[in-house]
Amino acid sequence: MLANYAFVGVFFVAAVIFPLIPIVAAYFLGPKRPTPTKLDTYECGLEAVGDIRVQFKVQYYLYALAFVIFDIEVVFLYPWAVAYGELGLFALIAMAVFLFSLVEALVYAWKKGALEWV
Amino acid sequence: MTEITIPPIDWRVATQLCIIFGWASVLLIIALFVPRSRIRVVGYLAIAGLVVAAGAGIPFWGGSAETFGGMLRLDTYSMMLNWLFLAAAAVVIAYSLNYLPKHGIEHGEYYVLVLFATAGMMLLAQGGDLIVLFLGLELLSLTLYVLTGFAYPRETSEESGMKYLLTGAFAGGFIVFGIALIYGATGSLNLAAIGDTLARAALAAEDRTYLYAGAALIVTGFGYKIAMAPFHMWAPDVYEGAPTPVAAFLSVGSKAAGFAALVRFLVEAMGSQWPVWAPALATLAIATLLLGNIGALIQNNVKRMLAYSSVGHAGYMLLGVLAAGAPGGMAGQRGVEAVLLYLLAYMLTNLGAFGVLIALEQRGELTWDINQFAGLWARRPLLASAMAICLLSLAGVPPTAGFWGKFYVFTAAWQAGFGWLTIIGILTAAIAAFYYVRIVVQMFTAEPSRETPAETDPALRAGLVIAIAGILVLGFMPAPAIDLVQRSVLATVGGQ
Amino acid sequence: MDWIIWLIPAFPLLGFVLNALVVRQERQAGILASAMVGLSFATTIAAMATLEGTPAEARRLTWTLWEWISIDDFRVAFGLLFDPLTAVMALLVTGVGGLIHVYAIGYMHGDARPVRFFAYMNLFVFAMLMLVMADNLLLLFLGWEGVGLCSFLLIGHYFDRRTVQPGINPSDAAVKAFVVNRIGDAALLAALFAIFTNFGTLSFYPNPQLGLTGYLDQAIIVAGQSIDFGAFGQLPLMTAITLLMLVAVAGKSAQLPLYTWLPDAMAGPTPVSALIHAATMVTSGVYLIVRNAALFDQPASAAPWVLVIGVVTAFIGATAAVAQLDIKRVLAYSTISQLGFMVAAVGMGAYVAGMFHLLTHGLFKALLFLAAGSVIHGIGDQQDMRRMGGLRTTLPTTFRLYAIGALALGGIFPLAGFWSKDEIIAHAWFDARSPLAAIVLVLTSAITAFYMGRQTGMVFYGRPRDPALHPHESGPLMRWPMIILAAGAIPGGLINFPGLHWLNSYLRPVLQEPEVIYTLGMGVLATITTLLSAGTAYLGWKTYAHDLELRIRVGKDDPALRYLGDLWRGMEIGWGLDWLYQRAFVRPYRAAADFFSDAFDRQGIDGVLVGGAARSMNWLAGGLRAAQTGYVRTYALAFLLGVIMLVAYFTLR
Repeated sequence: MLANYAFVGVFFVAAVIFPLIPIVAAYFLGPKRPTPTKLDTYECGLEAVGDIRVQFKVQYYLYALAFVIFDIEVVFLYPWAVAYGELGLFALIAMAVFLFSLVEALVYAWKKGALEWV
Repeated sequence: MTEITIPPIDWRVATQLCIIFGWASVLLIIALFVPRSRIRVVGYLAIAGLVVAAGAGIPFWGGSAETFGGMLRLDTYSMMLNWLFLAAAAVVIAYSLNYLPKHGIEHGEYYVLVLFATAGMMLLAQGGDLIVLFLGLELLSLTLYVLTGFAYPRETSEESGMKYLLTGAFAGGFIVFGIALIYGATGSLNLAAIGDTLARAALAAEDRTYLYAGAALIVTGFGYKIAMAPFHMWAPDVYEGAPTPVAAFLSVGSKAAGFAALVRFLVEAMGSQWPVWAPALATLAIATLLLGNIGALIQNNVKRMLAYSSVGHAGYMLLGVLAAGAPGGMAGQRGVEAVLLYLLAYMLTNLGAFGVLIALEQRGELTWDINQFAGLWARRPLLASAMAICLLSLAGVPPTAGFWGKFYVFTAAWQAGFGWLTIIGILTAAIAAFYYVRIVVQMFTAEPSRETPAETDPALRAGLVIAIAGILVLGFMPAPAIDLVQRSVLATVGGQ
Repeated sequence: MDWIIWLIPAFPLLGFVLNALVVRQERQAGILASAMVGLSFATTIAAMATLEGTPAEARRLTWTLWEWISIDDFRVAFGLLFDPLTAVMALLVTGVGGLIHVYAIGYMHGDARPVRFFAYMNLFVFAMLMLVMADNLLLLFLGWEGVGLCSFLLIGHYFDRRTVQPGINPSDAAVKAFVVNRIGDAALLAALFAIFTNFGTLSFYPNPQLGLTGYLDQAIIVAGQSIDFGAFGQLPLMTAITLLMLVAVAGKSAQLPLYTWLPDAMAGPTPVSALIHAATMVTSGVYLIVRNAALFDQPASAAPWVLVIGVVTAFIGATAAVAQLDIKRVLAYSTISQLGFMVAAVGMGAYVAGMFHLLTHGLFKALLFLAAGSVIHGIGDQQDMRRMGGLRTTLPTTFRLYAIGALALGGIFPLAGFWSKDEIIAHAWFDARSPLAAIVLVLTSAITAFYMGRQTGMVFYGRPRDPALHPHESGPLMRWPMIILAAGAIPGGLINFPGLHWLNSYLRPVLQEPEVIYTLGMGVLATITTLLSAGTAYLGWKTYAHDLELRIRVGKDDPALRYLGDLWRGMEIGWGLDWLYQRAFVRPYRAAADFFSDAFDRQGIDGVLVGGAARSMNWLAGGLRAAQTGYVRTYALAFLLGVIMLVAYFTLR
């Protein structure tokens, strides 16, 4: 029984090692000719300003939460759409309920002003 | 491609749940469009929904059914508990109708959250599957975290909400881990299936280790919800900081739901392993009895005292849980009945006591020092009498509901062979009388130290009258309640 | 017609409800309360008449209102029982109770809360009647808790006075009584469980209405059983049950080691002391044993312990009464001592003698308390005997009534106390064959006479010591109840007069006790006892009315202190049991409470967590550190330890 879980461990180790390999390889293989510009923090090609530890507006999080919910919704919708032919009316209703609750959450957030940028 | 068949769904099982869920969703939208000054309408609508849901359960009384592949159950046990939850939620909302505006925290979401929490409790009572139990637990917990911190921006309320969240998340993590271990050991998440597996054949030694570790973690998680020692430390802080109606809801609803799930898990899934878990649970019961009652003994803050007392009461109910698992049919059923009767009595009593607290808190905050009850009899004789009845019921003095609760639990535990545990229970109950009586003394035989404003309103009075009448009726004529409780059987226990 | 027995407790209950909800006037409250108890008394007489019509082998009336609880074979009736034993108890409760209610109309005149007082008094009578009339142990338990509650409420009646004489805080006294009684209550509850699990019923006798069996006639069932305590050996079940009952009796009837609450209970109004803490409630322990005589008669029962507790309590209570300086405290310790007599009697199996003494004591002790109340009332609420003196001339009626009570209590021929007390002593010497117990009881009896002589001498003889007092005699409402009680206390011995044995034959259907055959030896013993008592009574009177009279000073110690020294001090503080409990339980409790609230519960919610989080969003410096140094960490740690232990237990088992 315990052996069955061994692959989880192997997976875990592999997951750590795999991203490490290119980083380590780049460190050893890549030529290093630093200039101040190269050492600068990369921020979409713009010049970095101030400390990275800034306070974010709480609205960011509200947006992010709303986004994540609707992002997840898609994950559910795809398999549902693929199997729709087999599932029939019941699945339609089930998905309608699911979508309704999401829409309701959106309406709530909207009405409460969570989507307004202040 | 194989045909996907959807098994027929027995909607009876989910009727009450659907009503509450649906109504909560609708109310959330309604609350958005109700003007701020009329927001108590949402409260009335919420009570209406609770009443409808309670009524909808009546036609199904007596049978037992399951659906969603055994994930959701409806037996008389869960129906009885559902009614308890619905009633508790209705009383709590009634208490809140005037409490919220007086404290400047009246928002429509409050009532909706109470409904969602109620739905979570019902899931805990009806769940036939570990995942459903976890779902119910999380639904209940998340809403309660918010409700606890509802008195924003009062710092005590915020802090207690945060403490509840932190410790609750801790407990939730253990439950998930426990569920995973049990699934690993038995290959199933369904309580009945797990019970069958365990009853039929002995597991491999390795699997047994996983099973027991998982069971221990799940007991921990539910133990947290019912405030069982040593997982009880959140209770006093959270009760103290939470808005008082929420504290009432925590102390009755949340605890009852935790017990509902604990009994189901221990009896249905782990019933055959009773000899293993009984000694551990007995030890925890003793710890709970002692820590709760001694904790209450040293309190001068009434809200904290009630919190510690609720820990102690969890200890008494644990005696019933112990008996519930006892082999030999009758003793087990006795235990389930004892837990249910105790819950009923405890719910009535605590709702009454917290109702009086709310009446005292009508104008701003109190420090809840015991002195604030001084001389209440002289100024508000009815309130003081109500509180006295509740305290006597908590102390288990006849003829009150609390006496029968204790009596039934002790009888069940004694018959299941926990004689020494019963004696500890009786002794701690004798100690417990002391701290309840301290408040009675303050109310009846102390000079009013200073003006403590007490106000009641029709809704609060209605809730109080229901609670007090319930305590006395149950005290003098417990037969109907006992009859109801005796018909409330766990489907698997009855079916065996 | 059997249902009329329900009217007996129903009247006082009605009185309570009316007084609690409707009545607002002092006068109305008193009249209503007295009338209700009077009606109850009349109903008791009627019920006794009905009782006479039943056959002797089943002489009882029962009436069940409803089935109180029913869990399979565990069924308990909400039913009352009326048999000869109940009849005499109910007669005492309603009779003496009614007189005390009338007296209280006069005594409580001008009180701050008279309506509440009468409401509680009626509630007490109701609870006491439920106690003696219950047809099962559970309903008895209800009455048992109920009388305790009323006692608690009435002791605390003067809660607005910080202290009452002699320096007791009424609220503290009330709590003390309640808590000490709870110990006994817990024991009774445990006994109740033991009886149910072994007999399968809690009814005393078969209940025809519900078809229940009774446990008293099945005592033989558990004769051979015992409880196994493993390494600690075994305890016969019957011993366990009766021992638990004994603890309950010790709590309610103020026996060793739980008697300390009774002297403090004198903080209540004097009518309360008379009714609850002398005549009725405190005797319910004796009633409990008599009712369960079938269990105590079993060979393995704890009856010898009952005897020992009773005899020792009688002696200790009497010695403590000698050194008291408060008029009511003398009577309180005397009550403890007399209850010791009753408990000793039932411990010997002399149930009728115990009941006999219970009844006569109810009469004369109520009389003494009422007369003491009359003194207190007459001299402006003074209870200190050193302030009194010479009241014989100013309060003549009270003095005569007090003297009758004192002689009866002192066991002087031919008053009531002589007959009942002597029956107990005779039983100890001749039937129970425990001469030691008999000798101690005779000694106690002599001490009793001494302290009553001392008290009478101090209060009524000598010179008036406090010029500030202006004694005046009480009004008729207070006088007549005392006169009636005195009229009962003089010939009270008749109810079980040697040769007549009325009480014995009346109780025979319940107790089946054979008549005592009187011998010359008994006569001799009785003569010796009463002569001894008369001698000590004279000694006490002479010492305090003449010899030491001039040395009694207000605020000074008793003159006898210089002759007895520490022994006297010990008697004065009731042999220090209170002091011991204070050191052994109360102080450690306070210390532990301080310690625990300091260590674990300093201030659970203090704003540290949230305040910290709100002040700074800095992850390291602010929020989380507050969480780490705050209490959540402690909680989580305890939680984790719990989980580890639980998992370890389950997996390593």
